[in-house]
Amino acid sequence: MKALDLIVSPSPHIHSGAKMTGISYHILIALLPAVIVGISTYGLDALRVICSSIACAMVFEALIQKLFKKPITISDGSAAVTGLILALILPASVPFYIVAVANFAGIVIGKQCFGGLGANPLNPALVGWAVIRITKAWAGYLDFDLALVNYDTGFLMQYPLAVLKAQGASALSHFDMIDLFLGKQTGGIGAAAIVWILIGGLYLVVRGVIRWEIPLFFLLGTAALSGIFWLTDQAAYAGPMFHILTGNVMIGAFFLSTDSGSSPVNRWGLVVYGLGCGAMTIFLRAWSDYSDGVVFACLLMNLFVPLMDKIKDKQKVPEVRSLG
Amino acid sequence: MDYIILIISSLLINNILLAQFLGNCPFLGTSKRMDTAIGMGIAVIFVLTIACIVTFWVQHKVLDPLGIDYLQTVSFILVIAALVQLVEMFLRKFAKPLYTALGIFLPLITTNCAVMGAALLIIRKEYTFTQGVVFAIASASGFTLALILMAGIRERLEISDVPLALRGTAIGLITAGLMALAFFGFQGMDAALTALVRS
Repeated sequence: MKALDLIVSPSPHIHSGAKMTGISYHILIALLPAVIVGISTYGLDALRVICSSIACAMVFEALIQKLFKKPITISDGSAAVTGLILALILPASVPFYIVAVANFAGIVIGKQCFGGLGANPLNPALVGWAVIRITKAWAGYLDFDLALVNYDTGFLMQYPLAVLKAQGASALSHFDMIDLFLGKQTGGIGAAAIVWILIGGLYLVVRGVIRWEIPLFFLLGTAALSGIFWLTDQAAYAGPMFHILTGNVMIGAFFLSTDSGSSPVNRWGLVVYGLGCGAMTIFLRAWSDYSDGVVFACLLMNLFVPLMDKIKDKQKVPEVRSLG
Repeated sequence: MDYIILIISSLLINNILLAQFLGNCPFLGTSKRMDTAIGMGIAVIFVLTIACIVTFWVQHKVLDPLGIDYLQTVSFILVIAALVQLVEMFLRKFAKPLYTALGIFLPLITTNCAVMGAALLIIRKEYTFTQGVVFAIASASGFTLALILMAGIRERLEISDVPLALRGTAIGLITAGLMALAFFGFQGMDAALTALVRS
């Protein structure tokens, strides 16, 4: 590392008491409801994917840190969080080697090569997912309609966004918004449990682990742009409610886009970032080859984060008064 | 409307750097600092546009009428190299700070495959003159966009603890790969937009 010109302000310095371990465990707790719902919907397969993903993430992190001769930091829980988030956006039927490759790409290439925790320019879990998605031979494993054909879950087994992509918005009348909200839809293991993701996300906001600007403006951006599309052509484009309640938008707003290493710092940066993620999601859903654009939208916005951090907040200069 | 699709397509979807992998050497060479990246980006926009105009004229006014199509590559290299020398002299005279900032990389535009690639693509795709100019400006802007994004990320890498073996160009190439991964998200967009306009 080069010697840095970092400015240290005069004392006293107050530590908030937050530790990386604490932050990671808050995220794990917040995801617990979605994990339980996922396991109860898809059974042991979901448990297998979740456990193997967390295990892979932690093993790869430990191995690569050993190889790079760095202190092994898997006990801070950040690798476990990456593994869990990755598992929750995968379908329950993915084989083990896909999970392993995705975690390798995320943890080793996406995170540790850049210097580990906090230095990753992109969210590692999303890097892992995107590597699997763009590999032609493996893309079928992430096609929810194909992957989940053998499961009997008691609700309509059609991936709503695939129906939208193939047949347009007029074919969506049999999706009930309440059912979608309660998580009765095909999708990732945990990502489909919309209401539980929302509860977990709000817990993180209340705890101060993530900041409220990103989720709020993510959802606002999604709603605003899909609303504009919907008003121009109601037969081709679905409404804002449908877009917010399907696919990865909810998990994207609270968990995928809020990774602390790859999201902005200042308030206006956060606003622009959130709106950008939401709007890009709708653009990709409408026009790209992928039925759900959330992951790529977050990745693209991650690239812009260093530029967004250049938007500085106006800071009040503290007044200096004499004591006399 | 077709022009808007052409701009979006060459700026983002078929980004000359991240989707077609042309011009990687200046991409890695000049993306370490933001001001160098912006200077290089502007130089590429300028050179690439002029080069495409000139090579378009060479192709349609010289090579095609004389039937010496096989000299295309050679003549394009000659034209582009001469142009870059001109730009270099111009900058040395009128923009000395930029000239010193770019240093070795301005002559490198001579061998920048992005410039050559764009010139050849315009001929191969049989664009009209206006389409060619729009394509050239949008492609070069896409190059600049990628360069600026890369510079932002690499400025941060300066203060992070990158493993010893990966410092410098290695991590730059990994970053470029991950950027290309993110740009995969645009796949299929140009076909969808074209269909939208036609309907």
